[in-house]
Amino acid sequence: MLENGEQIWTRIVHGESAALGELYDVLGGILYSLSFRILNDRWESEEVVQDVLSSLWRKPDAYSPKKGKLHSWLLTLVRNRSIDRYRSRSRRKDIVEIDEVILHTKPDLGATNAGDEAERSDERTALKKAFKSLPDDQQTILELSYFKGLSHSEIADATGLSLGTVKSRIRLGVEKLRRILSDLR
Amino acid sequence: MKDLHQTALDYCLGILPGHEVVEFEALIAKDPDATVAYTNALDDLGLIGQSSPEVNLASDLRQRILNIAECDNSSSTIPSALPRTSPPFHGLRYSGGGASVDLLDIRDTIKRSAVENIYETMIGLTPFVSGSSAASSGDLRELQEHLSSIPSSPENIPLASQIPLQNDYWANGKNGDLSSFSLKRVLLTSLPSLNFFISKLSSGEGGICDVRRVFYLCRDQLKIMRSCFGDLDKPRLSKDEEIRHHGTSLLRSKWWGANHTFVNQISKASLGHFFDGPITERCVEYAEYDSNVYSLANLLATLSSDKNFQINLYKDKIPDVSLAVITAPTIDSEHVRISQLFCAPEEISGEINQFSALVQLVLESVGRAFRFSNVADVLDSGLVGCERVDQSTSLWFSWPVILPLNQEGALAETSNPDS
Repeated sequence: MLENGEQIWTRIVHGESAALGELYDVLGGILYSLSFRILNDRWESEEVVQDVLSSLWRKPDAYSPKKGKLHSWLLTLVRNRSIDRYRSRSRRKDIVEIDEVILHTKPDLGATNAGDEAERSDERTALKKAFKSLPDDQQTILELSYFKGLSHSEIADATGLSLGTVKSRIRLGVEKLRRILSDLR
Repeated sequence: MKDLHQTALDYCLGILPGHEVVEFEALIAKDPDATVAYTNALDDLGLIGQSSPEVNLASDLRQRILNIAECDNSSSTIPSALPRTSPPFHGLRYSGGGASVDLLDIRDTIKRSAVENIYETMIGLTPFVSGSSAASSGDLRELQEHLSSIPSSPENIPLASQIPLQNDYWANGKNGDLSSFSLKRVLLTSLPSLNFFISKLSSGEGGICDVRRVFYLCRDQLKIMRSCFGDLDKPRLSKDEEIRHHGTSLLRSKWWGANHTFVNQISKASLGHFFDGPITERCVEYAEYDSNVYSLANLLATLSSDKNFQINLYKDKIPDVSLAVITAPTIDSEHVRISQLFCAPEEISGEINQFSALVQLVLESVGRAFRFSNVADVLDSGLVGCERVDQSTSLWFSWPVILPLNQEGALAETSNPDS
């Protein structure tokens, strides 16, 4: 992961274009993969990554180390912009059927590159394992919340769970993920 | 407020109610516990994000992103001949659709069926070049199979040159023959480049970046066609007519480092100054704006002396007007040739060729957008123009700016061209 995010950001603030290249080399694939998982569309995912990195270059002060780690901040930005696009697309096509949402939360394996799926990064591999090791219901709720942008009440409606259960499962899922990852490390 | 960790998670997931967002942001600024909860939530959610399966990136994406840093965001390309005051119109803002005629207005049945065939071909092509197609991930077999099954691309430029632009259009206003402009717009703006890249892919020479280019050109071609011919595809046109803001980022995405061609040579587009924000209010308006950008880009892509041209978008250089400036290095004789196209039609010597048709299309569109009654007034206004700057030619057109009060509605994004 990006160990020197603060340094790279400082160099971007000073207009050093090589820093943008370094950032792309470390994070480009991760940001793109996240956006693709949400949108399942290469051109839209490219646009999201371009938009986010271009915003950081043009307005680097939008971030500050006080806002946490640079990569976490960028991942959230990419996730939120991708979700906005996903919702906008759903609105236009009038398809907000929850069944379909659940169906689409499964990654499009046909579009992945087998070579790229190799264990390029131990940490990412550990994360994927950690996510898969969560109980199915917790995975589904995290997927609906994080990758499809559903609100707690929408998830409650879709799954028949109470609002409180949805919230607690999201929290517990996130905490469990963090714990599993720290054990794996 | 709920417990901090839950609030921070909801905030990062974008599902915190509006009033709580304000409250939480204020808390982050002053309460170290809230700051820690926020950064922890960002990290925790980042873990989920990183669990996504890896997808291979297009090889040119890195360079395209690095071009961000090369963008010249200065205002060096602003033409000196721009008007200093707002155009003399203060009615309702033009939001597109004024170029529309019916297919039946094309009296020549061969040309009419050519338009229908182009549209159907592009609709059929769309799924093969979309961002979820096999071709977008580098597997071109299905796309090539499809391309080999459709009739060869129409020879649009020879076809367009057979269509005289009715110079009496301006004299007769709405009684003039707008269909000739619509036909030229359909055949001469995005279609030449689209045909080139389709041919490239058909011949097996293309790659992912060409598939991407075909996708964007195809989407624009379809929208331009619907905006020109109201009865071509009414269901999709009705979607195009809904209020949905189109931002400059849409132009940035498709032009960034894109190869482009009209006739004879392929040039590369770069981006200079780009303001952030909406430029048009509806798809039909965006189609018209787009066709103006294509028209000027077609000219300079062909006549650029180093096969490069730059697109710049400004607002506030002229009150209430957004400005598109396209610049390319040109040799003196080519600049003279281009600048003559920006004279009033009666001053253009010889036959109206495809280059002057491109300029006429822009003049007609901008004239409509600002409610001018004749082409001479559009040229006199300075809202469309051509200027020599050092060894380059700058071409520009103006468009009514979207005032803050109008900035409501959904935001358009890249979508399947037929949606």
